[in-house]
Amino acid sequence: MKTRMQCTAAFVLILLASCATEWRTDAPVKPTTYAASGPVSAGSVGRLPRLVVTKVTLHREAEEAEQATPEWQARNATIRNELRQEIVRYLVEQKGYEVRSIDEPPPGDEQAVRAAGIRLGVDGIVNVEHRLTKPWSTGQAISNIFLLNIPLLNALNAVNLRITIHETATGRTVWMKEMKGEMPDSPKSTPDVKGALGDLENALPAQLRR
Amino acid sequence: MHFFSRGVASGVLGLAAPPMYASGLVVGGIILAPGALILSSMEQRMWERMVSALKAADFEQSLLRATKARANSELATAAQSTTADSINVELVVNAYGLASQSPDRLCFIASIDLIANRAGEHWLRERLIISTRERSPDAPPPQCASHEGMAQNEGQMVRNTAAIYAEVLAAMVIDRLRNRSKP
Repeated sequence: MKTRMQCTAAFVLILLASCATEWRTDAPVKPTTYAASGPVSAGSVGRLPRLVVTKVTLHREAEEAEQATPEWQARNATIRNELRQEIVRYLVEQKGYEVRSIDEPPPGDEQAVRAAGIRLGVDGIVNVEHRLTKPWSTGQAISNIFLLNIPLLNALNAVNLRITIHETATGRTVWMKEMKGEMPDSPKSTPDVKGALGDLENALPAQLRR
Repeated sequence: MHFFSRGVASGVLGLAAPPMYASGLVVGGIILAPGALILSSMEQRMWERMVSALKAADFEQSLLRATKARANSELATAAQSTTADSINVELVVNAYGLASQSPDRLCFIASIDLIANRAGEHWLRERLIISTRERSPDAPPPQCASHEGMAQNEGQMVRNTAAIYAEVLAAMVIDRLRNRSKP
């Protein structure tokens, strides 16, 4: 009985504290640019040391007229580029990957991933999806009270950043991380790249890929 | 009509407030105390998993094995082609393990000294480091992750990292010996 209570309490605490979800494949991760051997475990994303980051898929909320303005488009381009630069910098400096960015949209299916990966000479493709939402209005905040905080819970559970890594060898997704909590569309909002990529395995060092 | 004068009302509120605060503290304590205990025991278990993974990694022996294997395969041909004196190589493991980078993040670090003597004379001495603050020029960035990341799957990241570091350091040692041997 005591154990069950402790487990329930732990579950509630984890639920309250969780702001990110990570998923990784159980299947072996296969590189394509070198012959994998050595001490790294078969399921490690570090076996894909050469990566490309595709164009960031950005979702922002606004009226259609506003979305057509040059300022809106320019702001979108700035957000996309800054986020991608930050991801590339983190993967290279902190995780030891060989990463470059390409101005192509994410490949659609497994076959497209394989084709793109082989064409680009990389072990894997990184797709990034970022979502910014309008800050809550006073009306929305008041209605949240009457709706028993359900909109607030939905907002806390909404994904603001999703990073996915696909391997070239099979085109499958091998790793994915989602950062949760609505992110307001403002210049001060910065996605948590460190939190998203912090637990990723380092790339297999160059000395072990000869 | 006055129910209370200003002083009386605040006096009544003053009398009511301490029990309210006290009940708030009791309710808060009931919520927080088991939570803190559970989190503390979860954290302790995470540390136990990391420590046992670190012990099981047997880093010094792995480093020795990897260095010998690489020396046999990569330096053997060079040694056969020359009539050089034998070189005595010592590897001193100064430190390896998990260091705190921030309150929620750990990094696996390692530092070894490479000491080589040739014909009884000092020939090469270098410190090889994989760390966050300073690292050897050809060393990879250290593996850092959250406590949960390091501890998951019975400390799989700790075991993998120890094995990779042993191989990488062995490769760095052999590179230095080879470069030093060049005329």
